[in-house]
Amino acid sequence: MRTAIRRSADATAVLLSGLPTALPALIGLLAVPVLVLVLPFAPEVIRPLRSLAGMERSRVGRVLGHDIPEPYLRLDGDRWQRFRTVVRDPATRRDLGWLFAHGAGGTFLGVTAVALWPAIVFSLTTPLYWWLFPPATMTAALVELRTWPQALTLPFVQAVLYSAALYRLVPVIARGQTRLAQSLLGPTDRALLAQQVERLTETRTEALESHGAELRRIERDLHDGVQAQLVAVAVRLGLTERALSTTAATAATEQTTALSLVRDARTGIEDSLANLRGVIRGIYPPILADRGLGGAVQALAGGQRIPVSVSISDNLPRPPAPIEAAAYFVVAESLTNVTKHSTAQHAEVVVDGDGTHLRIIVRDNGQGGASSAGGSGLLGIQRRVAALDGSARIDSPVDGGTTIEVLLPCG
Amino acid sequence: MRIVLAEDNALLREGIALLAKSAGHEIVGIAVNGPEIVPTLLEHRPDIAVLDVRMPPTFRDEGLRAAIEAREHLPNLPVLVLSQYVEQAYATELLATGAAGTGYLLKDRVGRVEEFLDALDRVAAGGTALDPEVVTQLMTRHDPLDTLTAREREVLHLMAQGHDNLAIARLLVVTERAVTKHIGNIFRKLGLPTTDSGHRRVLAVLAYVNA
Repeated sequence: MRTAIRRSADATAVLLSGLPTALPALIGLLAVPVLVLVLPFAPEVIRPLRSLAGMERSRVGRVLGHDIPEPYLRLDGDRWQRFRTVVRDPATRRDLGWLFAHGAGGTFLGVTAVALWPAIVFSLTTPLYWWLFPPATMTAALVELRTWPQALTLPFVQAVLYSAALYRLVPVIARGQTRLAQSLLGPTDRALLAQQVERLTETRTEALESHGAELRRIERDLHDGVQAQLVAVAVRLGLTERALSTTAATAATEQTTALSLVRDARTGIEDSLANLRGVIRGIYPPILADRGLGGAVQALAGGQRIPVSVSISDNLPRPPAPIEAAAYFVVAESLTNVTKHSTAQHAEVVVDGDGTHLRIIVRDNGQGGASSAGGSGLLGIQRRVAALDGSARIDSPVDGGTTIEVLLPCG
Repeated sequence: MRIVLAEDNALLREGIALLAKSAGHEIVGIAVNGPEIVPTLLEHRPDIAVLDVRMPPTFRDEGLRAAIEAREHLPNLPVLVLSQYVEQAYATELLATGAAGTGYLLKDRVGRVEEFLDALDRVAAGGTALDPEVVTQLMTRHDPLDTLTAREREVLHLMAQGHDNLAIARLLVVTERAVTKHIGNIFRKLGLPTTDSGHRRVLAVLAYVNA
């Protein structure tokens, strides 16, 4: 009940707030023929229309909670050019369209919506005093009230109808008015583009999420499937090897041959296991799955030869897995560079984010002068970051330390 | 030797059981998920616990956590942690509960039957068995490269894995006396106390690379 009243009141307020622009629009509507006639001689005559549209933009912007940018082409050059610009500008036609719509309907809608409220009170109280008036002068629900049964039912029917209009119709109309103003007065192509970007961002987030789930699945499959199988085979080979080397030899040479074969097989498996581990680490570092980005970066920092301080904001929302993996590689690669090339005594890793972006900063106090041209890991970092629509900035003045700052979009 | 095994992968469980049996050990208890580990250990009080790091339900590091927790209840329980990958941070956490009777090996090593069984015995007897990859990771952090010769580094590496002089001599195909000499040099160069002998020396080396 309370929310219903709230909803109706809000919508009424929106329509009411349309009155200050609707009344001038109604007058402006009558002035349109004059405007058309004067326009070729004084293009500036369009200004009042534009400032009225501007008022409406800020009103609707307040309702929507975001600004509606002005869509106009710039007016310059001589009078003729300015006239042409005004005529050519699609915003002029759209402004006029809005002027007609709002001028014709805005006043009526605002007044009606406001009037509905006292009308409900009036209807509900009709049975109290209808008999004081001459018969058939009071009406309710389009019927003249003549009898008590009528007077005790019809006013309530009317109140229900008014309430229904306030609850059902007024919000729809208010939204329609807002939408119409938004679409006529706002920049069309740009709005379209923005929508598209929004949609793309959404789908990319989904793609990243499913990609992330996929990464974890692959990592798990490789560990639990292939790797476990290989280990199990290696165990059996190892046991065979043991049996062969301890059994009293029948034919010593045969046994030696068999032994070396088994040994080769086991070594082969061990090599492929080592390879497999490398591949898995490259796809998705297992410590990320275990401990998340914070724990993984801490572990990385702890594994360096020089002291590395880490600061990670506590309330960092968990980024999608591919972003997390990229962030991990950025830190790993940067720290490898620090220990390999920079002669730094200490380094610092900062990870923070605002929900839309993850920011990674790796800073050292070394000799600087690093560049991605040198064949160091910097090029790899830039490529990996670019693939995810991120950006990497490398600041490395000679003798001034190196700072690598990477921004990764989180969806 | 009585073993409690925590491993969720049936293939590996079977393989390790097979291995243990071949060496005359007995698997007295099995845990197939993280929450089962500590209760199983408390029930059976084995001579050694062999734990997988990643277990259900979350497939993160429950094996490692269980190892650390088990140490609180059973301080002298030898624990050998097996993992599909090694992470120096995990090694550091594990060693923080005490290096005696502690092992951390890649699962791959299980295929080297003799070495694995040797590591099992070593850990059960209160020694240490660290995977060569773990030692490499630890030594990157604290690299004594500048001061040690290549051979001395090799010896240090093997010591950090938990091998004694005799084993090091055998692995490097040198005499035990040569190993003793190398170790003397290492300890002198790194400024470690030289009076220690046997496993305490391994601990000193671990403390050094894990510093």
